[in-house]
Amino acid sequence: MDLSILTSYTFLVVCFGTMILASVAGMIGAVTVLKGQSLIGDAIGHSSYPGVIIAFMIGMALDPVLLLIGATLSGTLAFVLVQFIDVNSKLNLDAILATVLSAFFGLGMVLKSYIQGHPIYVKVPQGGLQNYIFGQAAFIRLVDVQLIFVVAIPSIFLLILFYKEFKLFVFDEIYAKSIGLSPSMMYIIMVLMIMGVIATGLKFVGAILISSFLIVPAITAMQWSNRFNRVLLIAAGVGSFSSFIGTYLSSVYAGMSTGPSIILAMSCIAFLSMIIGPHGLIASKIRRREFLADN
Amino acid sequence: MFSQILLFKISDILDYNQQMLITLLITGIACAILGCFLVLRKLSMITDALAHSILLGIVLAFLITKDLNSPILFIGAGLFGIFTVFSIELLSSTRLVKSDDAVGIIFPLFFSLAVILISTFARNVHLDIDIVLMGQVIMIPLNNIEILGIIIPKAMFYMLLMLVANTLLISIFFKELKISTFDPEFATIAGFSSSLLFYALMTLSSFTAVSAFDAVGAILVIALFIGPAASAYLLTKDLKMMLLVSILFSVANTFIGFFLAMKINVSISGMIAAITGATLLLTVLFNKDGIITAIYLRHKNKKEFRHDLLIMHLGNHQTEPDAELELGFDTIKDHLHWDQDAIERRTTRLIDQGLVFRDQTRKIYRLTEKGQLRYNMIKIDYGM
Repeated sequence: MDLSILTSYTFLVVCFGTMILASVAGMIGAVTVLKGQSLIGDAIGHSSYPGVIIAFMIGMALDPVLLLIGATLSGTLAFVLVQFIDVNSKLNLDAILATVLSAFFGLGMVLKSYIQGHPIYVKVPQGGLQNYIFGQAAFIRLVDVQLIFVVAIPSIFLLILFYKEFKLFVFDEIYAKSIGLSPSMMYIIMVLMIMGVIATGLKFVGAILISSFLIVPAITAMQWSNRFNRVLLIAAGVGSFSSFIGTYLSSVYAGMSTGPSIILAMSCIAFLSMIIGPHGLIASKIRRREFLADN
Repeated sequence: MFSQILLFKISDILDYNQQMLITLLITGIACAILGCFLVLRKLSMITDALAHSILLGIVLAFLITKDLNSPILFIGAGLFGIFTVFSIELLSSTRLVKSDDAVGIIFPLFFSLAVILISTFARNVHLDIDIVLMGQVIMIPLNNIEILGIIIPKAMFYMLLMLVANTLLISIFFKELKISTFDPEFATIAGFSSSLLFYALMTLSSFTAVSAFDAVGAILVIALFIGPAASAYLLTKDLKMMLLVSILFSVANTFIGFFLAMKINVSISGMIAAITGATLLLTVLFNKDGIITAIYLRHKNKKEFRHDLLIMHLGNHQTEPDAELELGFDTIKDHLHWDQDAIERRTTRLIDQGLVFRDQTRKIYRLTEKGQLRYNMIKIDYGM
């Protein structure tokens, strides 16, 4: 155990950033998972990749803010496309998601290979672009953490502001509609929040794995409680705790990228919760035994 | 010496680009025909999970064999894909999570483990995550193996193998697959196991994904499986036709993507994936129930209705005493509430069709004999 790392500046910056990101993602993810939209995040995550490359091509530099805007735009475009195809065809949502995510990511690959071979871009250092696929703590700067704050705080604010509306929207969309709540408005707010998390999280976790920041803590939380407010809080807690563990592991062991390490920690907690949680495997086994003994 | 004479090289009959293109075409077709069943069974996102998680299978098998070209790698990764599907099924069968969520939790875990294993244990090895995701189409012809005296690119051989296996499964068990896809309950009653067929399908998907992985990368695998099948699903109502159309889509996507990528010198697999998405979007827009088609039909119906209206108006008034007023060259527009341009356009059209003529003596539009027949027809059609 190397505890001195816990006080190093880089560690603190990265750790703080991922913890905030993961707790916000956990809460927003809980809304999407409860709404049955968990794989949307996966599609948006993959689809933000071409936006990052285009932003790089326009800015000719790895400007975090510009890349954030690029990622947000292409992710949003992918979401709009998914919704458009969903409304205008008989295709299943998962077939649409699979095609859109691979097409967008493929476009990203095309653009990436284009700038690799292009004389104009050769002079600009592109090493950092790689990190947007898997995330790399070593490349996190203070400005990236600041960006998380700029995006995460309004997201949380939206969630608190529309807390009641979200609760209704998640559990009883028809009733919500009947009292004058517009579902499409709620979807727009939801997607805005998802986009915020994904775009800021790309550099930490990468385009491929960012969706699990939304899904895994939410699933973990749902193993422990059936109440909306508790699920939100537990998801936030699980997210930030896993981020701490994951960031620590990734700082101590060379080669362990931040994103995968955090997800490893998250998944362990999730599976543990499925086993020992109040609805988990052990609990249901005990209940079954008691039931059989009573009869 | 003897084997030297019998040796036959694929590269003797196909040049470098042809070897790439043909391998891609075979890969596309092998994926598309399985993809049809995956799309129909709503399992599309399983391919996403497969594509990401067999990386862990490859890494684990590699750590055991220490040889990237070993067939054990292929088998190990394929089995791991089945294990992934099994884990997802198991997790959703506990009812602790929904099946979508099970996909979303299993594959990031496996993928994360693979990324960590590669970067800690297999760093110096030629097992680049980039290549895994994006493939190396350009390297296909360089990596040859000898099978029964034929020297053939490794990727081409494996994909041919999978194409044959997939075609065999689909043609032998076509009826069973069809029934268990469209009516699983009936399949169970009829006495064959849906879950056995499910795992047969998944086994082939997994091995197809593993073989395709090496050549085209994880992301294109998803596009090749789902894109053509999804487009075909929109255009056909019959399973056999759907299989055929999906093959056509796959071939077209591959051709366009390949030549476009070669022309501007960019990632071939990325381009094919992007083109696959584009053709699906076009199919959504332009198919029989698509939005563009709907707009076109609405426009066409409107036009036809106006022509009918004009004929009705002429038929109703041409024998009446007010015909000069109602049907006059200059006055008809006030009675139909159309502007002069529209009148000119529509009457010209009907005159060309021989339904209407200009009665120059009375200065009115009138129906011809053919127009009169049409007038009677319209009256019947509209129930008047």
